[in-house]
Amino acid sequence: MKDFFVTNSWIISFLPLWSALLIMFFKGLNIYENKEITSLLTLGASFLGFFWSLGLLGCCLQIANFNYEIMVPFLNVGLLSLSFGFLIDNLSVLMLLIVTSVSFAVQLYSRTYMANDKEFHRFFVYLNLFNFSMLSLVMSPNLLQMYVFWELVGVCSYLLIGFWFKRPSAAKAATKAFLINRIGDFAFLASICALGAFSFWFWKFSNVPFLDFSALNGAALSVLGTTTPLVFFLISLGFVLAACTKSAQIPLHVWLVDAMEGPTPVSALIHAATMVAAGVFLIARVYPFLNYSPVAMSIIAWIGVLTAFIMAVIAIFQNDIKKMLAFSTSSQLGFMMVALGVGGYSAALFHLTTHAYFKALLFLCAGAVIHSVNLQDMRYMGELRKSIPFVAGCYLIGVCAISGILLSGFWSKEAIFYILADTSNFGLLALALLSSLLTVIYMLRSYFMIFEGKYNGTLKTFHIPPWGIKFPILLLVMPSVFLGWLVNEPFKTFIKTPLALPKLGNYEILFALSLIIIVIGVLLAFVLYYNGIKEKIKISFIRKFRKFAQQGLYFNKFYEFLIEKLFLKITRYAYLFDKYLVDGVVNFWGLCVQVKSKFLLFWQNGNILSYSTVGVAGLCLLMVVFLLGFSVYMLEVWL
Amino acid sequence: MSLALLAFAPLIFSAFIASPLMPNNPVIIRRSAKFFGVLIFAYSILFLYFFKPEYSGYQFLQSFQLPFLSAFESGCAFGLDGVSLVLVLLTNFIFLLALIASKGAVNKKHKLYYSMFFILQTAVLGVFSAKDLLLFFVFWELELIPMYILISVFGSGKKEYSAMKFLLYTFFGSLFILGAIIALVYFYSIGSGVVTFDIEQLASVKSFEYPLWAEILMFFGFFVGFAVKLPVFPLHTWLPDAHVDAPTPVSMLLAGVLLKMGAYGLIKFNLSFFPDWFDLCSSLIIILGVVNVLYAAFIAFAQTDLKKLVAYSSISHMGLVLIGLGALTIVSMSGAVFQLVAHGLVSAALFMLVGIIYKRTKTREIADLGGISQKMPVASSFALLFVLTTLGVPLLSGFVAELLVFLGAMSSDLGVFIKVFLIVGLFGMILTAGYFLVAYKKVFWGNLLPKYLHINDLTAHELLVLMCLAVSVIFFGVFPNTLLGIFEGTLDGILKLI
Repeated sequence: MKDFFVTNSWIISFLPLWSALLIMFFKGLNIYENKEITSLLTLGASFLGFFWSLGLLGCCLQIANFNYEIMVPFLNVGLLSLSFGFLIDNLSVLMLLIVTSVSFAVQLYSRTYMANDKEFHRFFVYLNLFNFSMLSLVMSPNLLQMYVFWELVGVCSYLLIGFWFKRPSAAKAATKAFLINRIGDFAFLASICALGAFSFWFWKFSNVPFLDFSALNGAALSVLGTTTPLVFFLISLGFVLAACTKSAQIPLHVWLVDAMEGPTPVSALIHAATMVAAGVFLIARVYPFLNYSPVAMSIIAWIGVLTAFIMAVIAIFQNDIKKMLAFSTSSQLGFMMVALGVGGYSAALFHLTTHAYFKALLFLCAGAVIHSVNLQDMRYMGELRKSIPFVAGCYLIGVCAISGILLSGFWSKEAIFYILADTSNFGLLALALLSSLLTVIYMLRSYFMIFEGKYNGTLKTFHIPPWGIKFPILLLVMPSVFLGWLVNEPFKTFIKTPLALPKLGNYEILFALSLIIIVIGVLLAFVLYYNGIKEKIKISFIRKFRKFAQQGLYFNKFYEFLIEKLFLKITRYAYLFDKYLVDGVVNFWGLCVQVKSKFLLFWQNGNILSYSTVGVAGLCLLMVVFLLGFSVYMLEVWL
Repeated sequence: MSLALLAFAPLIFSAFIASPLMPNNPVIIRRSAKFFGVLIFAYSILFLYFFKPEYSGYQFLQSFQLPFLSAFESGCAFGLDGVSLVLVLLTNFIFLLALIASKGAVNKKHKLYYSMFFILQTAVLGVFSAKDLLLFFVFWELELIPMYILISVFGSGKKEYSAMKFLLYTFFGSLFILGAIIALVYFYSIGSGVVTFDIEQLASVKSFEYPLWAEILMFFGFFVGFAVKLPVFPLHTWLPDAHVDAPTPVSMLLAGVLLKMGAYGLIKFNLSFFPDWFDLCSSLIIILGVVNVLYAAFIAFAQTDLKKLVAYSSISHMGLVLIGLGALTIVSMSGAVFQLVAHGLVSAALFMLVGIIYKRTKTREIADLGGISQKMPVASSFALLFVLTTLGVPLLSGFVAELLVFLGAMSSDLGVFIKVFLIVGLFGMILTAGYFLVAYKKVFWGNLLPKYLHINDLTAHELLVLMCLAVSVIFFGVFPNTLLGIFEGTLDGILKLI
């Protein structure tokens, strides 16, 4: 039975693919009018996948360091052989559980949320394709397969952000997301090519499948042996850049906020819980490789902590509920990055796990709120606790979880603070603690703005969420509440940090510090935001800063400037160069020949008179020449 | 299995279509042309079946002695190796699809169109299957005539100008090839005492050396000739004009098949005849390739005409072939040949889509289009698939080529500078995504312009063509081994010459 689960685990990722194909090919048929079949197929695939992953979890818990790999060849040329396959170990099982369970909840939610959309089937096709790509990504046994599905999840995200492509803003956001992610793909592919090329013989001699994760350690040594440390650093930097784009880290985070143009379930599943975590997952997978480049590791840590801090600051000033949550996602992913950067492998993945659930919960609640008031701007909400108390309660649980008020986020953040203190990175620790304080403030601010205070909108009646919306939210509430307590200790042994073994000291002061921060945060949020936003603070500096922060620190403006004023101008000049110089030379040559031919044509005009004129003129010329020559000759003779 | 029959079958069909036997009825002409196209394609599939991929030399040999050429060893010699077999199959596939796509694209002089079409097919098949230099050159030149007529009679816009430019430019390149062929045969006969035009013999390992200056001239003679066809910067300017003004099926052929003749020549002649020179110039070729990739991508950004954008992207993608060939490893060269097929399929599809849009909206200006996905959902899904293929999204054919080219080039023993340059070349994948997706967004997404409220989705013919291309693009992306296995042995044999 155990073997059966493990050897057939590919089915977890293929079930969604099959349902996608089934829906795609049968949705045109008349018998397929019923939307229930679509949602049943999709939900069935996710549920079976979750069930299967639980079986795998059982195997992993029984056997320490469980590791199972199966490969099928993808292409063979010369000495190069690339293969696809799947890898079952603790990390991939963890990711499988997260992806399948969040997917299930979100798909259940979408069934109601998207019920009135004309493109219901297309939406579920995309969702299934995404699940296929994401599940294959987390089961990748080698870097190449990871890249393949890395890009495919990007494509699915592109399709889902642009799902309502009639809206120009959605079309623009989808394109932007894909293009920025393309930068990361470029860095990823370049790093893979370089890594594969410089350690080519290592893979051949060690008899490990090309680019397999299990031998990255040896590959790193082999790369270090064949090239300079600078090249090694650049390869590591490629992976870091790739992770930063997918996980929306500074300075390439700008796509994530725009990605909120997609339907809310998509934001919950892809742009909060699963796909954006792929960057963190990548760093975790290539961790044995990156470990040899301390500079790259500290770059990860600093990018992470800066993202966590700056995004939290920006989130405080956001008024759009989904955008606020997007900035918050970026910030939380920053926490994971900083943990990875200092070697807190286990802590980072723990935060990834808890974050997946509470952020999905927050997004689903946000979707329910948007559904009931029909807008996204929090300034026009308020007092909604009275009309949709269920959503208010769940949202509050999400807020507590993310800001670490004793629910799941508390434990995972605590693990991150521990590792920061343990490696004596006190600068990072201070910034991380500050970001945590800001998290409490912006999350409570959003809760107060939406559910407390006075209602500022114009609607008389609100759309009360049906059970189809409530139930999936309830599913996500449970892990958000209990996950931290239940798996806090077992997690540390389940996901072990490879290579390094940091000794965990006793930092009870950190525990106290976190509690103090929470209390300060809650108090501040109460004072500032309980009765709507206090606009009383009229210091001009703050006002200016608010505008600055609302615009996301003008990252977008800067990139737009670069592209429109610089890049597109260059391309226009390049085109002019091509048209008038490169092609100009060709056409000029043609023109020269044409002019010559025109000149000759002038004489070859078929007119007997002009021919005879030319003849006579030539004769005269010859005679003149002859006479001149003759007279010169005669003169010489004579003299 | 007669290769000569395969090469000359289209010529026979063309004569049949032109002859009075064929009634002057467009429907009958079109249907019989399609029937002939299917016949030729089916016949070439048989060659694939009997081909032995483990054998690196020519197969299916067939030769005729021509009485008037008895002075030296030349004649009608045909043969196929792995690379040419792949290209022959691609040729027949794309020609068949272009025949199907011709419905609606051509509305006059059907007899002329279809007979020229088949003459062109003979020329291209001849180029890929000739084993004799003289025969090769005859076919190489023969290709110009039908193409000139197809563009100048059936094209649009400045069609006479474009056709003439195409003709003169290619002819200019051909002169270099002819000079190089004569010089090669001459110097080979001086060295070995045998006057021969046989490609296999000329490419075999020699016991003597050509004079240095002659070798340089011959190498660059061939190179310039093929560089015009490929095309390589700065000899590319005929391409956008010719592609844009040609009718849709002919653009499909130009991008899908004819460009590949240049790459084929580089492999068959430059590399096989002068392996040492190719090795020496590998850095130069890679740099030219990277310049091609980036330069054309930059220009594509500034294009307002959809067809021109696709044309420039073609140039950009051919740069990848140059990089793959220049790196001279089995992996990168397989990538280059794979790219020939992948690009052949996808560029045909993209030109077809541009034609489909043009037929319905009467415009190719990107700025004049918008939101047509709402009226053409099927077409827009296909367009997205093919755009993603050109971007090199995995599990589609473009990715395999890109991966093999760059992985192979990085693992070659070139200098660090060239490797840095390669990474710069890889930057093209961002640029390609940029211009294609921005154009896709503008054309298909967003608000539907009111003037396009009446347009329809794909017709059955168009659907068939796009479906065939889509299936092959996905198939080769998921199972690249099926294609790689055919020509790997041949490339291995060529690389052994170095």
